[in-house]
Amino acid sequence: MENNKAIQVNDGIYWVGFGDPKAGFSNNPYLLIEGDSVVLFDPGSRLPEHFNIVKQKIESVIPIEKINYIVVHHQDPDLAASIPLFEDIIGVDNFEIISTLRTSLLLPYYGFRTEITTIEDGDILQLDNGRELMFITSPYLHFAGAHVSYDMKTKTLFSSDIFAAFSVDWHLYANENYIEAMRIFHEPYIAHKSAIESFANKIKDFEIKMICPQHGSIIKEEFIPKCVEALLNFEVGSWLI
Amino acid sequence: MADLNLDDKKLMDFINLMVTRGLGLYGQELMAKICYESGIALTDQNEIDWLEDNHIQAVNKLLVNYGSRNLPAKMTAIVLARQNQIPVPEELLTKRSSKKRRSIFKRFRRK
Repeated sequence: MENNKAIQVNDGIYWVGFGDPKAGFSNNPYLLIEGDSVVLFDPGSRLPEHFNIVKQKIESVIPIEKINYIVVHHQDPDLAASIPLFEDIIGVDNFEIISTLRTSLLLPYYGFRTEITTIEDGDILQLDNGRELMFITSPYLHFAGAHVSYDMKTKTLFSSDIFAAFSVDWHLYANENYIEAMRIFHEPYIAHKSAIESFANKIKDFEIKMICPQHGSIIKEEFIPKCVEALLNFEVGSWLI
Repeated sequence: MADLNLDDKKLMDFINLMVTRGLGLYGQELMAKICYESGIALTDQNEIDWLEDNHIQAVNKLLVNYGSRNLPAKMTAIVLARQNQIPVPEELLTKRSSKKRRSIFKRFRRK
């Protein structure tokens, strides 16, 4: 896999991430392009060795300055620390940062000056050509203000840390070992099953054809039911010992 | 305090809850000012009474005045209102109008 080219994973959706064997997971920022609407999901780390890969990969499909929206699913540094570096390129307030109210309290500590547009559960962002992006809150998975995004055109769920995994044997698409890699991520990281059940209930009527998590591998349609079932059955809160 | 019907009692209970949280968040002096601006009296002994005849409007104003001062207050106002089945004022949910913001949103209503 070339380390300087974005990989198209769906209609207008590109994986612009990288594997980080030291951390034991991959970081998966995604880019969505629809006409003049360009959305970057969870831009990632600000470490030069990480940021430069993401930047190069984005530039392999579109100039950075074309980004209109940076969606931040929660405020962890592996997802959000590079926002000021993107702001340096795009310009203050030449793009919007989209996140929940609760996350918006913490994001400014990264030192950017661009305004945050806060979203509520069920808000739908209108993109070019009628494409729509829905935001669904996912409280306590793993942060109180966490949310996910759903591309209504391709039925892709950008699931943030939900369905994420730890693995150094990383593949872009989930394989038969993925459930165990998910387990290693979720069981210590998610505090309580009720948060998973609440989220599962919210998305149960959504048709989902692809899941793009922030860490780990992309889950294709045929493997989704197994991953959902596994998620519902994980023994979470495993550090409460 | 005058006789309360059930709705008024529910509203009073809700205001008491807001004030209890608000004393921690704002302190007594500012909390009393927020109440006064909303049509609610808050005494030095932290007792409350209506200053406005339209009680629903007063609670609505209280939510807005309370929630507009900072993000934790806004989150508290929204969460407490939802937990207690009090309608959340649109002012707290509407995206801040800004010349800088170009995004357009619509809402998905769950069944």
